[in-house]
Amino acid sequence: MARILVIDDEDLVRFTIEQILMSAGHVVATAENGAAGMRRQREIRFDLVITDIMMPEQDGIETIRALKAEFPALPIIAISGGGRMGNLNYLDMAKGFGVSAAIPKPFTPDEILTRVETALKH
Amino acid sequence: MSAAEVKKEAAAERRAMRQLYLLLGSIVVGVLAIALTYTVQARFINAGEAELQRVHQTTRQLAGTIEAAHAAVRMAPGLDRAPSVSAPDRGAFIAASVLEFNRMTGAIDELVALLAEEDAERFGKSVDRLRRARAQLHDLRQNFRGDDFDFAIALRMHELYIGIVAQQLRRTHTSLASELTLDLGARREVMRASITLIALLVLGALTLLARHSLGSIRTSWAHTRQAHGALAESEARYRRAERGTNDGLWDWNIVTGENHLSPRWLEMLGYQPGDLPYRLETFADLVHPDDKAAVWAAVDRHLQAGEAYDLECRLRCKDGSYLWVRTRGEAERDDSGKPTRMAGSISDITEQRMARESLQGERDRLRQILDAQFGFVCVLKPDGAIEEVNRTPLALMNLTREDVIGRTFWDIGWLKPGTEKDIEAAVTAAAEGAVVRNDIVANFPGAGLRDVDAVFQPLRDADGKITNVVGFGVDITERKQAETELAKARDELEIRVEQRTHELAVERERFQISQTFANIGTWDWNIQTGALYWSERIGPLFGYEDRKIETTYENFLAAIHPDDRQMVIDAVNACVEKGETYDIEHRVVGLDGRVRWLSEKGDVIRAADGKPIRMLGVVQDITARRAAEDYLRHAQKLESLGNLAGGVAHSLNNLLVPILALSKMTTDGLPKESPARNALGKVVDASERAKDLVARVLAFSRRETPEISACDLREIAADALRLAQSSVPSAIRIKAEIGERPVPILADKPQIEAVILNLITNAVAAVNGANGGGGDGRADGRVALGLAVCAAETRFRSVPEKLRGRPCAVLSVADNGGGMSAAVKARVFDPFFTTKKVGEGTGLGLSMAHGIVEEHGGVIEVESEPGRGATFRIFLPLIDAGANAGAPKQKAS
Repeated sequence: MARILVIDDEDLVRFTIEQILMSAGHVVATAENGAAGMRRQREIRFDLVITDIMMPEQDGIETIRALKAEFPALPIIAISGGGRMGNLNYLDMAKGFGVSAAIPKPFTPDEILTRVETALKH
Repeated sequence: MSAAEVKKEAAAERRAMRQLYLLLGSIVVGVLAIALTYTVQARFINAGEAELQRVHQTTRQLAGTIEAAHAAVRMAPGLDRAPSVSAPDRGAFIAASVLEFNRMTGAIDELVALLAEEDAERFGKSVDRLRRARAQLHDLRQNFRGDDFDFAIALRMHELYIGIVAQQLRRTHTSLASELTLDLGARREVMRASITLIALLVLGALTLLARHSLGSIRTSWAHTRQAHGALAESEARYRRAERGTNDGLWDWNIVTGENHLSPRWLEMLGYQPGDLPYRLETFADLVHPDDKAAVWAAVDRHLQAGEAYDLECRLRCKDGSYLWVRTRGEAERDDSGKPTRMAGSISDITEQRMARESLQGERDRLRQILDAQFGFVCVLKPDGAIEEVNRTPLALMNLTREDVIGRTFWDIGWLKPGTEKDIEAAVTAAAEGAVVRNDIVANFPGAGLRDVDAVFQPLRDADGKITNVVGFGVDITERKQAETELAKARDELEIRVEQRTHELAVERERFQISQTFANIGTWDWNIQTGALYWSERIGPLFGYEDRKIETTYENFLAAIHPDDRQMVIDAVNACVEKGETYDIEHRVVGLDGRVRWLSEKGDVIRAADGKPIRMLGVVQDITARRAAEDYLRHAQKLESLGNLAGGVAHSLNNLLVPILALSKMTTDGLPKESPARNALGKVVDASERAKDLVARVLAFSRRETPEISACDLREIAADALRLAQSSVPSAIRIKAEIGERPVPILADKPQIEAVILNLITNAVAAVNGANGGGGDGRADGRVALGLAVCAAETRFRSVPEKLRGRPCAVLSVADNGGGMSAAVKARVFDPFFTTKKVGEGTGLGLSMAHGIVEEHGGVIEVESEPGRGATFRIFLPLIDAGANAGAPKQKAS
C-alpha cells in the first residue's frame, strides 16, 4: 500500500502500469515527463518512482539523477523500451545511477509487482 | 678568147714586152752613153772652166794690185818735191805709207798664193820677183824708225816696181785666158759633136727597133686598149659595187682639196647627189664637234706616220641628227712620200654600236654581278693564269684587276703560305676534268687567315674541250669557328646528357617504384596524333596484367565497365572540349573478370590558342577505398536502420506493454473455464513472441565492434535460423541439422549470426529464382542447413588447407536452386559482385561474410554447378570446450 509515481511519455504505458499497481492496492500518480514528475514528487513525497528512460525533455537518466540528488532515499525503478548508448544499454546505465531495478518492456504484471515489493522493502 | 689565142696573145705580149724592154734598154744605154760622154767631157770642160775662172780671178787680183800700186804712187807727192814737204804733211804721208805698206804686203801675199798654184814654168820668174820684192818691203819695214821719210819714198818705189811686175803678169794672164777660152770652146764643140753622134746612133738603132717592133707595139696598144676596156669594166664594177655596198665611199684629193663622195655616202646622211659640194670642207663640217679633234688627229697620224686610219665618229645628217659611222681610208703618196690622195669608206655602225653598248652593258652587268658576289670568283687558264677575277679578293688585297690578270693564281700571295702546292694540285685536277671542292686557307692583309670553302671546276667549250678552270670560294671562317664551338658544345652537352640520363634513370626508378607502391598509373594522350603512353602500372590497374597489349584509346575504353563507359567518354570530352575538371571514378573489368574501381584525375594541356594538345591523367585503384566507403555507407545505412530499428523497437515495446500486461492481467482475472481465457492466452503468447522478435531484431541491428567470446555455434545457427524463418515465405522449408554435440568456437556472435543469416537468405533467393543465374523458382525448393564437427585427423577432403590438422566446425547451407557457373563461382565473394538485379542486393553480403569468416580464422567456400544448386560451407576452428567455460560474457539482448 504505497504511493507510487509513474513517469512515462506513452499514455498506454502509464495506464497499464497504473492498472497493475492499482490492482495490487497501491495509490498511483502519473506524469508525462521528467520535469512534471519532479514537480509531483516535490509536491507529494511518493514512496516509489517508476520512470521510463527514453523520454523527450528531461531524459529518464537525468530524471533519475535529479531525483536521487534531491531524494536520496527514494527508491526508483527504471523501465525501457530498449536503447543503447554505445556498448551500454540504458538500463545498465540506470543501474549505475542507483536504481533499485531495471525492467525492460514489455513486462508482465508479476514482473512489475515483484520489483515494486522488493524496492519498497529497502 | 680561146686558150690558144690566149697563149698567142700572151706570147705576143711577151714579145712585145721583150721588145719594149729592148727598146727601153736601148734608150737607157743610149742615155747612159750620152751621159757618160757628157760627164767625161763635162769634166774636162769644167776643169778648163775652173782654170779659166782662176785665171780670171788672178787677173782681177793683179788688176787690184796694180791699182793699189798706182794709187800709192799717185798719192806720193812728186819725188822731187820731197824735201819741201812740210812736217805735218810728212807725217800724214808717212802714216799713209805705212797703211799702204800693210795693204801692199797683203796684196802681194795673196797674189803670191794665187800664182803659186799656176804653171811654174810660165809664171815662176814673176813669182820670184814678187817674193823678192816682198822680202825687201819687209826689210824696209824692219828698219823703219817712224819718221823716216826715206822709208816712205823707198816704199813707194817698191810699190811702183811691184806694179810693173803685176802689169806684166796681167798681160800674161790675159793671153792665157784667151788660150783657155779657145781651148774650152774647142772642147765644147767636141762634146756637142760626140753627143750628137751618139744620139744619132741611138736614134738610128731605135728607128730600126721601132720599125721592127711596130707590130708588137700596135698589139700592145691593142692590149692597152683592152686593158682600158677592162679598166672601164672594172670601173663599172666598182660603180656597181659602190652602189651595191652599204658603205659610203670617199676619195679626197689632198692636193686640190676635192673630196669625191659616193652617192651612198650622201644617202647615208640623208642627202642627194648634188646637195653638197665635193670638197673636204663638206666632210669637215659634218663631223660632230666633239669628234673633230679625234678625226683630224687620226688623219694627221696617218698622213705623217702612216698609222692606220680607222676610227668611229658622228656625222650630221640632213635632218640634224647624228649618225655613228666607222671611217677608214688610206693615202696614196708620191715619189717623195708626200701624200697626194686619200680614199676610204664610211659604214653605218649604229647597230653595231647599239649591240656593242648592250654587249658592254651586259658585260658591265655581269661584272657587277660578279663583283657583288659575296665570295671570290675567278676564271683561270688551265695552267693557273688568271683570266678574270671579281672585285672581292682584289679589294681585300688592295689590288686592281690589272695587277693580277695573267699572273698565276697561287702566286698572288693571298693564300696561306705553304698551301700553294695544294691549290696548284686542285687547279690541275680541275683542268683535267675533276670538280675539286676543298677548304682552303686564305691570307689577307688586315683580315689575317680566313677559312674558305673553295671549289674548282672545269669550263668546257661547245666541243667539250676544257678551256678554263673556274674557281669559286666563300668565307666560312665564322662558320668553321661556329662548327668548332658547336663540336665543343656538343661534347659538353653529351657529357651533361649522360649525367642527366643517369639522373633521369634514377628519377624514373623512383617514379616507377613510387607508382608501384602507391598502385598509381599515369597516362599521357597526345590528342593531335592519338599516341598514348601508359606508365607501367596502368596495364595492371586496368586488368591487363602481364599481357602486352596495345596502348590505345580503344583498349582503354574496352577495359571500362560497360555501364560506366559512356560516363567516362563524356567526362573526357567535357575536359578536352570545355575544359571541365576531369575527376571521375569508374569501374573496370579486368581480363580475368574482376571488377575494380579506379579513380582518374587529369587535365588537358593546351596551345596558346587554346587548342588541346595533350591530356595527362593519373589512375589509382580505389577498389579498397570504395569497398571501405561502401562498407561505411552500408554500415551507416545499417546504423540508421539500426537507429530506425531502435526507434521502432522502442515504440513497439511501448505498445506491447499494454498488450502483454493487460492481456495477462485480464487472463488471470478470468475464471478458469472461461472461453475468453484461451483466446487471451493466445494474445499473451503472441505478445511474448513479438517481444522476442523485437529484441532479436534490435540485437541484430546493433552490431558494432566485434566482441569475441566463447560461444556455441549451435546457438548462433539456431538464432539465425529463427530470424530467417520469420522473413522467409513459408512455402520454403529450411531444414536444419544442427546436431547434439556442442560446437564451441571463439566468435563475435552477432557477426557469425549475420553470416549464417546471409547464407540462408541467399539460398532462399536462389531457390526462388531471384538470382538470375538459374531457372525460375522451384516448387520443391529446399534449403538445408547442416552443422558438423571435424576432428583434427579427419580425412574429410574438403577441409581446406588452412584448417587441416585442427578440429573445426563445418556449417553448410545448401540449396537446390539454379546453381552457378564457374565464372560466377570464381567471383561470388568479390565485393560488389552480384547476380541479383539492380536494387535487389548490394553484392556485399557474401564479401562481408567472407571477411568475417576470414577474421575468425576460418574459411568460406562454395560448391556449385549450373542447374545443380549450390552449397556454401563455413569452416571455423573449434576451441577447447572447457577452456573458456565459466562466465562467457553474455550481453543482455
